[in-house]
Amino acid sequence: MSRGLLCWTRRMLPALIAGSLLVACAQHRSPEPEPSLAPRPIPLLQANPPPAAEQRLTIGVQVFTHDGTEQPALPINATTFKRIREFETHYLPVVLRQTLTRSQQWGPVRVLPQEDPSVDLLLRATIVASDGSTLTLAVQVEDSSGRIWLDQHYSREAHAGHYPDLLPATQQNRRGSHPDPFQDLYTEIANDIVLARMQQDTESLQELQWISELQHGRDLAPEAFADMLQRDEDGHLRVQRLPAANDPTRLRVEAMLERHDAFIDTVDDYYEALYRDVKPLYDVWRHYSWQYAVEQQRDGRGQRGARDGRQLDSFATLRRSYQRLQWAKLFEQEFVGLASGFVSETAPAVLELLQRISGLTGSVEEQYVEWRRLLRALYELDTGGPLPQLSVDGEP
Amino acid sequence: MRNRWRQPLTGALGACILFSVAAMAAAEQATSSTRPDFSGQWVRDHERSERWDQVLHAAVNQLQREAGLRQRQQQGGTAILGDARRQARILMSKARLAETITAQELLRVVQDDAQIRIEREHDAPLVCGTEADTQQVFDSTHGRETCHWEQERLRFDIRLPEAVTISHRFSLDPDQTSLRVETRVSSRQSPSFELRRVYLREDGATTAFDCAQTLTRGRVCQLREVEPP
Repeated sequence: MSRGLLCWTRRMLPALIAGSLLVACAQHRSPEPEPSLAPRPIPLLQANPPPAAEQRLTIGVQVFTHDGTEQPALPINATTFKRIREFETHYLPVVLRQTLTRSQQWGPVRVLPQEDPSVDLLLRATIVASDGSTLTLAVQVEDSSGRIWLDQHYSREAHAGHYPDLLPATQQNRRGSHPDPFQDLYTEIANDIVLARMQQDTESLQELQWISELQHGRDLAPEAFADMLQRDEDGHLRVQRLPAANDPTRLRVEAMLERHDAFIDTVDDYYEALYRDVKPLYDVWRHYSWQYAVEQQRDGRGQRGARDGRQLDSFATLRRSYQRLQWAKLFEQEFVGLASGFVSETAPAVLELLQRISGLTGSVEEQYVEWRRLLRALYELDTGGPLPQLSVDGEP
Repeated sequence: MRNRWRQPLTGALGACILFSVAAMAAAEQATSSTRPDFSGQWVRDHERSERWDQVLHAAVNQLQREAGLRQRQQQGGTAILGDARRQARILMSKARLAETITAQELLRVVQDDAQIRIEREHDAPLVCGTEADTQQVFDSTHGRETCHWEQERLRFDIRLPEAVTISHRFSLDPDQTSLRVETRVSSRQSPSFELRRVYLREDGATTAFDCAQTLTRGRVCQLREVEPP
């Protein structure tokens, strides 16, 4: 190195370091989040104003199922994984119900523990795959006549932008939670059901509402409603005749239906409470499993070397590394302990309310089955003996 | 003579050992049950907390001085310049990390005889037992966390896979109304970066806070003396 250059370097060194750092400081006055990578969400088909009465069908979203054979993709014990899956069968239907309700396209939408004859549309789903990076559901929507509206798989992948950098509040400090990373999947299902409804004419939709009411009547008093519904050559139920509007049996069934609606509203509240209480904890599981999947992919691409200390000058690398550790710790410390029962503070209170309404005990599923039996017994008690034949509309 | 003394001597030695063991056990008991009480809600005191950019400037000045000195001594201008730049970049990353992970306005500490749990907004809680030994809080491929007590001070060490260590040291001021949190981000490649935060106890009976929402620093609180009734 020439003497001149050396002198120049000596003179300029402090200034150069200071200059480059001042520029860097000016650029990074305060730490900023990385850009979001979440794709633009699918718009939900919302009705404004709400659609005509015959289109406002009632929907029952049955608690989801899972085949129970899936193995966890990440290192957690099988019992914890099974509990997560079982919890998801209650949790995911609530997100779908919220989406359907938000669309304002329908009548009451409720999460139910099993099939219910009083709803116009019944939505069943099986969890095919679910973790922080992927959600796949096999969805079937059947109307009260037995026609299948939808029968297909829905699948979505999460993106980095779906998961905020900040950790969600823990069980002890629940201040924040973030939107569902798979909201698009629910939106797509909700939109598809609306599109399926568009293919039905007004008469069919009106008939569906009659069929559900008669189905409910038949559930209470099979003999009285037996010949009101018949199956056509495709096996779908059709209304043969309707009871008169002032028929006492019909009025009694309608009164029973109102009580039943109050009961299933509370059942729905139960699932909502469960969802609300456990969401922060479930978010931890999703984020952790998503991060694990990302790590696996990165390792698969041979990017492990990026963590050996060569990228220490990158704040983003350090922050990601710190966040990874915090998520892993949060998952192990908070989630695994609490997931043993998916502790909910509110849901037991709703269950107690349900017990007071119905006078029944047991889990919400057990109460639902008992309630249906109780309704039939109440109906028989109300009629005071053998059930009368119904008078037919237009026939006195 | 020898035999006569052996027994009492052995007895005295035994008593001494027994006494020492008992004293150590008592000391141990005392340390775990007489840890300083950190419990309560704590709100950040911006006036007494350090600003990360100011601390960074000071650290950079130090780096400059050291680089200048090295250059004069070793006659290696370009290499020193490159090394100093690299160190400065790493220092900047450390500073930003320290700022990010200590950005909480509020801390909630739950403490009993067995455990202390420090809850921080948008971060996993720091949990440590009250016993004297170093405790491994968490260990995985993502990193490791240990904690231990340095007399009145509680220390957590978090080691990331990039060979970066973050240590948080929690201590109370003598009047017990302020909680001091010193966070140091260190690695072999460059000087450590240390940032001090001060929090004020929110539930003190004799103190209160004047808080105001500011554009630049969010909610800012300062300690205000309350006259005793």
